[in-house]
Amino acid sequence: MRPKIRVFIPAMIFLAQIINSPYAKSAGEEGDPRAGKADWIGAGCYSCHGYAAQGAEDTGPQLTKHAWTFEVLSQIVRNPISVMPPFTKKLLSDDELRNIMAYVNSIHQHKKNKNENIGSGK
Amino acid sequence: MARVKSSRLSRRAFLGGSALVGGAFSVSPSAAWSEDESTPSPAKAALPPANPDAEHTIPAELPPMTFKRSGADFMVDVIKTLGVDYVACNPGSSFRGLQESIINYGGNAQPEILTCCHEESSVALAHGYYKIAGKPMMAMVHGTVGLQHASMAIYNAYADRVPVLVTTAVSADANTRRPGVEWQHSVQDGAAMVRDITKWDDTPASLQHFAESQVRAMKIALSVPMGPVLITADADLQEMELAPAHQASLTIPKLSIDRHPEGDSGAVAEAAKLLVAAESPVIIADRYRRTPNGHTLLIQLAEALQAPVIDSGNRFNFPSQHPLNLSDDRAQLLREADVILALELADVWSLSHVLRDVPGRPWHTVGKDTCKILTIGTAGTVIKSNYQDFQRYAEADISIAGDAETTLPNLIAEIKKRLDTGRVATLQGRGAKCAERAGRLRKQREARIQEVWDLSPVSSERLIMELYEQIKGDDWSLVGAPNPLATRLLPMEKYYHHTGGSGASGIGYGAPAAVGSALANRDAGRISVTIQPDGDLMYAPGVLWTAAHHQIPILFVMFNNRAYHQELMHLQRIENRLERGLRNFGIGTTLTKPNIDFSKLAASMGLYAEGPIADPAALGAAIRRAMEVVRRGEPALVDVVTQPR
Repeated sequence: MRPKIRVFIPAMIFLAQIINSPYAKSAGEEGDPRAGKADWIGAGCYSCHGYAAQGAEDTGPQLTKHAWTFEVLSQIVRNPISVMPPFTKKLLSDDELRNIMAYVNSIHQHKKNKNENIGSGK
Repeated sequence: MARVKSSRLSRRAFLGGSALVGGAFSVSPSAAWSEDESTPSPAKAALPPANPDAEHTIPAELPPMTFKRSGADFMVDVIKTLGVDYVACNPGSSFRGLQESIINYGGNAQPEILTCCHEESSVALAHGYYKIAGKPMMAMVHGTVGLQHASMAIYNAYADRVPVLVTTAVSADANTRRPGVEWQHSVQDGAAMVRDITKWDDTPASLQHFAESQVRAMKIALSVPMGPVLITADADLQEMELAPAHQASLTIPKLSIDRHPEGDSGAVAEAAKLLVAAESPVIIADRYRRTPNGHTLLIQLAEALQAPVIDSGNRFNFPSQHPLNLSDDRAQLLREADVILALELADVWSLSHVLRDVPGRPWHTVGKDTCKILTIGTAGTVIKSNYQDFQRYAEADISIAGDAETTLPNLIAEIKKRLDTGRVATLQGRGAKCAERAGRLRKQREARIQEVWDLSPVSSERLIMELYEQIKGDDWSLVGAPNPLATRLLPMEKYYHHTGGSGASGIGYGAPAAVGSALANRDAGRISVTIQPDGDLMYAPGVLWTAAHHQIPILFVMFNNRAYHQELMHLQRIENRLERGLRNFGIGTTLTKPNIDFSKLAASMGLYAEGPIADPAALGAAIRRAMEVVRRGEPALVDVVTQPR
């Protein structure tokens, strides 16, 4: 059998807590988003979270609702508490992870800008 | 020593007539042999001593090489009593007698032959057909190698509890087997290969035996829990001459299908009491709905209790937009529940347990310790040891063996007996909260659709909504490979709006099952669409040709994520666990380099086709054009390059 991969509620609760914490504030200042896009695909992040980090039914949450800091993202990616497989430094260096963060944050920023433009009637 | 006389005058004894003619004669080699000149003709062994004038003598009389009726004709007579409309097959010499008889004696109608390019397609087509038509089809598969091909599809049907009448064949008598292929394709017990995944099988030894076995096979297939059955039709029986006297002696028994078993009334009353008293009951339905009335009954039950329903999706059990449908909130509902009613649920264990796919595979319990689990179903009544599709053993507080749909009227009656005015008023409040929750979940879905609308490659949500935009005015049916997201996004109301799961998750089910369901929909005047995974189609793409050849209208919208994506994620999981090969998960899992052009593939088999389309803005128009073709009665395919999930 090929079982579905389920996203666990504890992970979602943890994510929510992190996202709402004082750490999840700054966006897009570290890392190279272009390199990050290549790493996003090359490291296989897209397989559960989609090409644009939009998430997917039953495999991985959307990651672009808020900006990430490296500390928070690193904690989740290196030591996931859900069914997500761990991406240790041996697999994904800090630089690569920083680039990935930059890529995901750039999507968040783009969406934020779009919504703000819509809100202001532009 | 005198030579041994020939064997009995079998189908191979074209010139057994030395016993039938008087005088000497010589038999020319070309007249003595059918196809294979290496085997001595039985007639030669029986020739009288040579006559010097024999080679110039015209034979006085030859035995007949033709006859009016064959054993297979009687087999077709039997099949015609069972109401079978179609038989899907990839041709095989072992059932040439039966195939010829279906066509020329039976008039290729009821059943009509559907040509498939793989036996897996034949059986899966029959599987999908039942899901819509509600009655079984036949699938004919060549002995040994054909049955081997078909076996995965048989397992899917078995696990899905769907009746399919599988017929295979064998040359049982070694004395009459042609050397070479007929020996390679003969087997002593061919059904052994699939005995663990069929309900019943038989190898009739005579035509009367065939009649009784074929009728019995239909009866067993349709007794709940339903499932595939297998009859092996001996080739000699098929091809023997059926003399009038023999024919007159044969009878065909009447088919009598078992009434479906109903759950014990005492247990049902106990269950009703618990459900009425529950504060947070949950109903979960899996392979529950057998007939269109199943919807009506489940709605009555849910509304009587004002209880939320989780539709597990192996059948289409409950309307997707009903205010009590909280399938999207499964995990939370099960955590809160104090009573869970499971209807024909395959995996009861997972109601109260979670197993994590991490090293050691730890599991833990979820939900309330005091939660009562009530099960109604027939899954445990026909259970075999070898294949483990029966899932993990689960504790239930009340376990009722009986067909859930048959049992529901009594359960509803028992519940209504126990509902007083005060209780009804309380339950209305619960129902209102469920409706509010369902509304919130629907809004979340709508917001999500907007967020992913413009993604390229195309998002699942965009694909589904663009498809729906083009079919919402038709009497439509989503068939083939299961698509849980579509069943939640779209207004699923009529019983044919989707066809549930594949049974054993054997990939390759989707495309042929879609064609089978579309065949049944065609007969009912409905249009069929399927969201077709790319990897699934690649197993046996010849079924596209079958759809074109038999003019089965269906739209294939490819979900072309260019990978066996589930397995890609599995490989990734193991790579990460071992901290190696991070970027190697695409080896053995992706379908790239080159990318497959499904539109060309489909066009080569006679379908209207467009694509590949990765720009979501182009999708709507492409689907619209393809649907015009489908409405004309032909199959079409639109290749869409999609997000991974």
